[in-house]
Amino acid sequence: MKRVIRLSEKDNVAVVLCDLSEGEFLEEIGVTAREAVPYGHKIALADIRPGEKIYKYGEAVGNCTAEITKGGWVHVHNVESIRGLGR
Amino acid sequence: MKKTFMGYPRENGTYGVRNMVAILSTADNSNFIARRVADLVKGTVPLCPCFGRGEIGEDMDLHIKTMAGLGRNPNVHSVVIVSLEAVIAKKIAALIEEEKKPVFIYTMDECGGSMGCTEQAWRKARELVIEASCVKREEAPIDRLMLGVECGGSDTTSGVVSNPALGILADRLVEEGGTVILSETTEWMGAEEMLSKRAVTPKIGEGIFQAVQWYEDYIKSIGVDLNGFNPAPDNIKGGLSTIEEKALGSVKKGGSSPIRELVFCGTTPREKGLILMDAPTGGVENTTALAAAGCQLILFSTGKGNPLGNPVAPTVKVTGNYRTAESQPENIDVDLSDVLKQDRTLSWAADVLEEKMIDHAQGKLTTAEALNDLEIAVTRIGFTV
Repeated sequence: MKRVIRLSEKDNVAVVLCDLSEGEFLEEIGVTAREAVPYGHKIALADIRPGEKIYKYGEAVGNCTAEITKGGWVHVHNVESIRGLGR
Repeated sequence: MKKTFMGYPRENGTYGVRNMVAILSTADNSNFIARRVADLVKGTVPLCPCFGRGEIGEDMDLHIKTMAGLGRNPNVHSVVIVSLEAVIAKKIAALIEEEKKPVFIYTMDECGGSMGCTEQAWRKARELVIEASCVKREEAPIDRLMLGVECGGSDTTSGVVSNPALGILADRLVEEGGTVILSETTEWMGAEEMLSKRAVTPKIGEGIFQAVQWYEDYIKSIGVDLNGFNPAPDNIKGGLSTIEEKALGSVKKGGSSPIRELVFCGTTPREKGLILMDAPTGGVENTTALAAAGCQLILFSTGKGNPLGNPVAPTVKVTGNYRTAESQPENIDVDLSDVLKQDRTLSWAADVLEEKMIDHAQGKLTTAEALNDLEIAVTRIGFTV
């Protein structure tokens, strides 16, 4: 069973298909997990800075809001929507 | 794809995939009668809306159109309307009669209250289910199928497995001349450009942008962030971080065909092929709008699991998440998790789905039907007064 998939060459995240533990190496994408990443969640393929875009399916799916290092867990704690912000 | 399916022929030239007698309550104040009659007579289905009383203007129009749309659906053989009073009942009945469908009205006002109304509706329902049972399935061209595509309880696997598989099947049905409706407007947010490029006219393309803009403006006007509402907590737990990420996965279930028409909530399209329907994303509400538009069958993709079904349009549950397929097996009709587990192709997944779609269209019960996990909700625009 696949442990990870990258959906587009343009993407800076990949989708993890197992419960990934810190320190595990994903040969398929050449990335070591910097922290645990839950099943179905995203792992960073490169360092991503606040203000930079997150790409999945080759499209911008959000803005980075906190420093993400390669192999880090990418989710609502460090990404927010570009759209639908009414605050 | 198979060129035909076995369906129930209707007077207006459509074909049902089911053959039910609807006990249609016009408003919340007559729901108890519809439920009671449906409990008493096998082969009936209660259609019980929230509200309906005190709605005004566009809201009332939408309520009447949606309830009538459920009655007009080809899966419905005939309709027994139960109501507090006759005015709203007659408006709904008139729209159903346009489809040459038998419809009968019983009001508490004229039948001696709730007991009299129950009794008369009960007698008529008994007669109608026996009549309905004499209608036999006939071979129908596959282009008479109108398919709704829906997702709920979405997670990462929805956008990677179940929605793309639905999309391939949607393209195949459109290729054969059938109709597919993709809805859930908020889940076009971030995918408008991709969708509008496929619109067959600039007007439809602009309409797609405007429909999404309406929702985005509304969200901003009340001063909240969409995140936490959509994606909802279960979507977030499933790995989806933003509305754009959810939307880009969500629209895959419509496939890649040209978009022939954009219709409003619960409206029957004039065109065939791929249709977009501007309607809210809530699963019960959106499947109600799809059924009211005339979809005979709904393919419902889920990641984290979401058992709901529509009482009029059988709702087929499809997942690409092996954990959900294992943890909630009784709520899943089609398990496509081998795409990720066994490296099977999406084309394989679409083949599996196609076979199941035809099975369910020809009478195989969906799990939501078997369990009676069925509900409707009619979209509201404003407040009651």
